[in-house]
Amino acid sequence: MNDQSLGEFEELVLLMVAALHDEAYGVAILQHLEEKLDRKINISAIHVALKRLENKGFVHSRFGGITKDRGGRRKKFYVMTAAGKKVLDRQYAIRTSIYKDIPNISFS
Amino acid sequence: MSHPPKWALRLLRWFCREDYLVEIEGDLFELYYLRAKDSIRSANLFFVWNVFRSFRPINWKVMKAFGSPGMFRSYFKIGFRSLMKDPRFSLINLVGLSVGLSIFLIIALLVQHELSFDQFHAKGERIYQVIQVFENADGDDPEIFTSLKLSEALRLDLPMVENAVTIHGAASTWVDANGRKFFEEDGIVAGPQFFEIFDFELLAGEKSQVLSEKRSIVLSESLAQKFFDLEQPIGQEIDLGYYGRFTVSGLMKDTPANSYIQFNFIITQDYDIYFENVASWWPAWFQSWQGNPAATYVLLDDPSSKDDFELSINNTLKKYLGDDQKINRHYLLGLQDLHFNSHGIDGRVNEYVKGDSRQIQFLMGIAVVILAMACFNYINISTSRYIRRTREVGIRKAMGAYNHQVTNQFLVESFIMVLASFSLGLLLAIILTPYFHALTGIDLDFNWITVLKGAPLFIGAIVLVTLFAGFYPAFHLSRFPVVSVLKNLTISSRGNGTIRKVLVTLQYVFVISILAALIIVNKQYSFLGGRSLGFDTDKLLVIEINSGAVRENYINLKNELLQQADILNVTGLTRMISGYRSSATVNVHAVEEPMQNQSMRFYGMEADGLSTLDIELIEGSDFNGQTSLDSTSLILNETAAQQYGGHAALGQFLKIESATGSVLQAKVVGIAKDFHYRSLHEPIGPVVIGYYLNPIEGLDDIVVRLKGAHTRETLEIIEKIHNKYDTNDVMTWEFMDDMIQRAYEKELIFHRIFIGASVVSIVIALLGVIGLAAYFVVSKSKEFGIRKVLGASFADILLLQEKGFFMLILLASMIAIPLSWILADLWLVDYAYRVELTASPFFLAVLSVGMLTAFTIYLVGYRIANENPVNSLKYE
Repeated sequence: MNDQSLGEFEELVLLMVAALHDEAYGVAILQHLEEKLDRKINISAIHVALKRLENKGFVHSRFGGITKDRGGRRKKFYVMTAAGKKVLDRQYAIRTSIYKDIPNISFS
Repeated sequence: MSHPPKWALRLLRWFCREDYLVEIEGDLFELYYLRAKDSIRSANLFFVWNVFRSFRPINWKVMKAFGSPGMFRSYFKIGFRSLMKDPRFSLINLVGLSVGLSIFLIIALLVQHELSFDQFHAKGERIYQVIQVFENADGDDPEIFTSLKLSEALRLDLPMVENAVTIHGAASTWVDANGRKFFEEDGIVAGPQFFEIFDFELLAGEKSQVLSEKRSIVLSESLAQKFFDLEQPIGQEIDLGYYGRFTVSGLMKDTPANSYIQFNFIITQDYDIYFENVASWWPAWFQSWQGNPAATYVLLDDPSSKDDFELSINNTLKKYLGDDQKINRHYLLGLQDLHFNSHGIDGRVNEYVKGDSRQIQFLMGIAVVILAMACFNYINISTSRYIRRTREVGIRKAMGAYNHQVTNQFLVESFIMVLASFSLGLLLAIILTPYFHALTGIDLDFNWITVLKGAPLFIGAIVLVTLFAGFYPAFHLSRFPVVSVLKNLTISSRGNGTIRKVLVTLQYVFVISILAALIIVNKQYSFLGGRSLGFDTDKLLVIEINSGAVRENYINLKNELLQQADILNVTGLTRMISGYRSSATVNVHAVEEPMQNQSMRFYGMEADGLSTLDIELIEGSDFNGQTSLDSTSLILNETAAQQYGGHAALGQFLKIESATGSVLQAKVVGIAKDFHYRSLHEPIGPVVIGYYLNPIEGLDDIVVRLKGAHTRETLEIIEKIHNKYDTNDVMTWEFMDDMIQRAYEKELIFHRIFIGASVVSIVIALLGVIGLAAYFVVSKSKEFGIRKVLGASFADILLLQEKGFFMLILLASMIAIPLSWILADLWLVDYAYRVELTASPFFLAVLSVGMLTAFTIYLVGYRIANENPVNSLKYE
């Protein structure tokens, strides 16, 4: 597997990390994704995706302060790196370019 | 505030790597509190679900140690390559470890089999055998035999007895079943409670019902098949010869091999027909409180009421026996203790060989030593191979490897080998089990259930050996500073040299002690095996006298027997020596010295007794054949004669008193060579032999010496003649050889297992020595090359190598010899007749190890020394 590849779910998580800029952590990403996608996602899937993104260097993480609603555990916030932005841009460019190639005919 | 389930949290913390834990735990808690606002129950469930879902390899602790999957794969790839680089040494490692393991497994199974005796009874811990202690002049004589009436009385009178049953062996009998005749020996007679107390599995019939009807018989599966093939056995009638007709009421699984009570059919207690057929004089005694024909088992309400039982049983016995009768002491022995702890207790329900806990401990010791040695070999050879890989470590680290990655590399390599050897060992054990059965007759229960049961141990051993073998390189080499490792490419840094020497010395200590120990143990066994009993047991038939009629007409019976062409000699004894039943103990003193009492064994023999048994007379004369003279003559064995001054004992008058008060006064006429009248393990005590017609003990055994190998015809003729005089009983007979073989059967099997195990451990040990020696010679190729270039001869080079090794062997012997000497001495302590410890086994062990080493070095060194030095010098 190419280390620069991006799975579909990973892409969604990466997008959400970017969208939530500086406020992205596990539960927040989960809630926003569930809302956008209108389906249930398990938190562990988010964790796995975040770890993979981090290993590939697309996101950075840092610990936040102590909060009460997590039983005293710190949040781990993620931000997108330049590499992450680049891969998203490339993904987006590939898709739009192919999308543009769709002939203008009716699909109904 | 509510809290998610603690156990789930603990589970998460157990498997999850720490650096991820804060994040995952935090998120799970946040989600939990969100849900808990609505319902705590669903929040709990959701939390548990999330913990389970988080159980992904990426979160596992172990994955952190291995790093990325790519690295993980690389460990295996490099591991395989480095093992394949030295296929010979890898093979030695593989063979040594797997053979050692398979032997360990087989012995462990054997030990487990022995330890599992009678564990299959659900109520086993509450079942006890009642032991009755008969008091004799020379001490207590505990026996399993009790009155037939005891079990019922106990059941009725003692509150702590939940249930009780009477059992005794059935006489061998002809069985008429399905129109065919079979001879069956292994039946028992039991009360109806039998199956309610013991858990012998019934295939057909109700536990409480099968023996409740009179004249019922329960057959074992294999016996039913033998009798009826595929026909339905239930309800069929069987004729059991002396016992009469029985109806099959149940079918049971064959008794497990690990059962103290062995039988293949079981009949209800119903003696009328039996007595009519067999022993009409018997029933009164047999069924009375005075008779002691049967074993009694009780099921107590709780193991703690055992003491209470032993106290209260006397009152019960008094109630039934009456006050004027002597009450013997009774005590309980747990069913599960019978296999190992019933030595010294006479009687058994059926043919069965008791276990010897000392042998089991010894076997366990051997098994552990074999496995330890195999592991030690493996660790030793691997470590010495790893020492050469310092440069690899240096390069790895220079390229940016972390310490833990280097550690992982060596651990994975070690793991590959250990896993392969263990799997091979397991396979080997499965393949070897049938051969083990052929060798020892012991059926080992080797199936997937036992394998699964042993799995935790197995996995534990794999981890342990992996860690030990990989320990040195994994945790020591990996910590070397990069520069010094790379700069100092040779392996002969001082630290490594010392480790190498320690390893080789330890290996030699191991091999020499084991070799010496094995030689000594084998010497002891062949000493015991080759030791004569002191009389000739060959072609000797022993007939037990069961009726007064035979006793009275003995001379006629003897004369009739002697007319048979196949019979060499016939003699009568009060008790056969070395038989199942022991002889009377008597008090002996010289007539002039009434206070000097000696306790001795008494045997009464006919005049031709000594010559028939082939007991050597060393001084004086034998009985001369005249009853008037012989009945006042005595023969002492050497041990007894010594009490009266050896030679001076001849002509002395001795007074012999039996436990019952009968007295015999007679003159010592001869001294016989010591013979074993008990087990070979026990020392020979003083024995006094009197005439067979004496006031002490009556004639009880007839011994027939046959001319040739016995045939069925001879036996039938003897039986016919016997039955002329004893019209009631079946002739009870046994060949002396069989009797002795049975007594030493377990010992023989043990000896065979021991020899097998010794051979294996020697092979493994030598394999280790060869491997180690060869390895060091190979690693010195470069030195060989330089020495040759500088003009050394082959002999010089070789001698130098051998000298180094011999110093180590010498050092090892200095540790090994005292060690094994002490161990051997400790082991021999328990034998009454033992070999003397001499220097020769130790010398032999050191010599053979030394020669083997020299030979290995010569072989490997020869090849290397004859190579062109350019080959070894041009690289590395």
